[in-house]
Amino acid sequence: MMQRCGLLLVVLGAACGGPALVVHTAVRLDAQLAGEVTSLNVYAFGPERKDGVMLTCPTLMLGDVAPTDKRLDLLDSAVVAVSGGATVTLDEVAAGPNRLVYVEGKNAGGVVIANGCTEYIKVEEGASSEVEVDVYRLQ
Amino acid sequence: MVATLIALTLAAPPDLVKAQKLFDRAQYEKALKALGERCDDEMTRRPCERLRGFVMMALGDEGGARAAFVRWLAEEPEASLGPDVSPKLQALFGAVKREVLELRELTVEPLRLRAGESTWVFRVDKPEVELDGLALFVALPGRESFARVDLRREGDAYTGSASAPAEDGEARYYLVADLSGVPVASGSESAPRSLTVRLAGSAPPPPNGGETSPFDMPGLGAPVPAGDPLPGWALGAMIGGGVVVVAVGVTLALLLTGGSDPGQLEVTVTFRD
Repeated sequence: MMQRCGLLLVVLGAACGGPALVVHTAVRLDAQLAGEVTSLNVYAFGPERKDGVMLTCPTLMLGDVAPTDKRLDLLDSAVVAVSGGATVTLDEVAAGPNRLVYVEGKNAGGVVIANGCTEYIKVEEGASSEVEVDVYRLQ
Repeated sequence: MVATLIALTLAAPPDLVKAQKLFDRAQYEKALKALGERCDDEMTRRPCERLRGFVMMALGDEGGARAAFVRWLAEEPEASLGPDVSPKLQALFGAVKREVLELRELTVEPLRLRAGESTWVFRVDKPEVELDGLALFVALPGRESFARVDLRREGDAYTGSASAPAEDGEARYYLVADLSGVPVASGSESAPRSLTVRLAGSAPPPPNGGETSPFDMPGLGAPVPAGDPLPGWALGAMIGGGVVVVAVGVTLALLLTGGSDPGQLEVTVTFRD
């Protein structure tokens, strides 16, 4: 059973006065992990790789393919420091029904010690859904 | 061969001439000893490493020959072995030359900076050749000195991060790859490569010879994070420009994606006890 590391990524659909297709994502870190995970890499992907193979969360979670692999349809990515109130915006996430968000948690040495993923995220006008991305410590 | 010997006699210290003679007599161990452990003399380094490569290959040490050719080509990338060289040596030298040339052309991908990010992430495409390390030396806009950023292999790229700059301008950088213990540079401190840096909300810089980023487009950004001291005019400009930013960003995304509407993921990090 994977150990939850207390990192919960909640993707909410809401309008906030800007473009219609805004998805608010809240990352909540357990206090115990605050001292370990110092930064997050957040990636948004399209569902299909450039070689025609479908991208899935297990593929990323198990390390079968790196998030920087050029075959992936990377829509946008960003790095966010893990500190209270920090924000980052991925503003090139093309609309569609099956977007995938993959998150890596890194320690101060830049080593990935946790990751999480959610697929089938709808980025569509009028869509309003709650999606949870659980980030687990790497086994 | 005579020409080589004459050139060495005129310009080289005695050990190099001696080494050449010993090599010609197939006394490879003694030739290696005559060359010494390293080719430190600046005037004779290139012919020294060339000869060392030949000697090591003759001794069956292909790794040593390769390292000597790397050191030689790192200084003289257009060098050639010349005629009358065995096919095996030509093949090794040719492979090393391709690797060195590839490393000398490494560049950093456009730097991305958004509001709220205190860290820049650098990315270099992984070259074909396997490296023992890759370091980036970057001088942010307004700074004279270069800071070292060790890049880490991640999949098909090398990545690293550094504190985000505080101002627009030209960032200068060069890369140093570790190829079998030999540093091979792309750019240098005296002749660095450059990247145009523009923080979100500021005007585009005038055209120059520096590299520009496809992400470095007006409007693709967000306001400077709260908490930084800002003059009143800047705050007003950012607020007023927010709508323009969004509109231009949506327009550009439409153009780039062939019509599909872009969305935004706004990620907020909070702590909870």
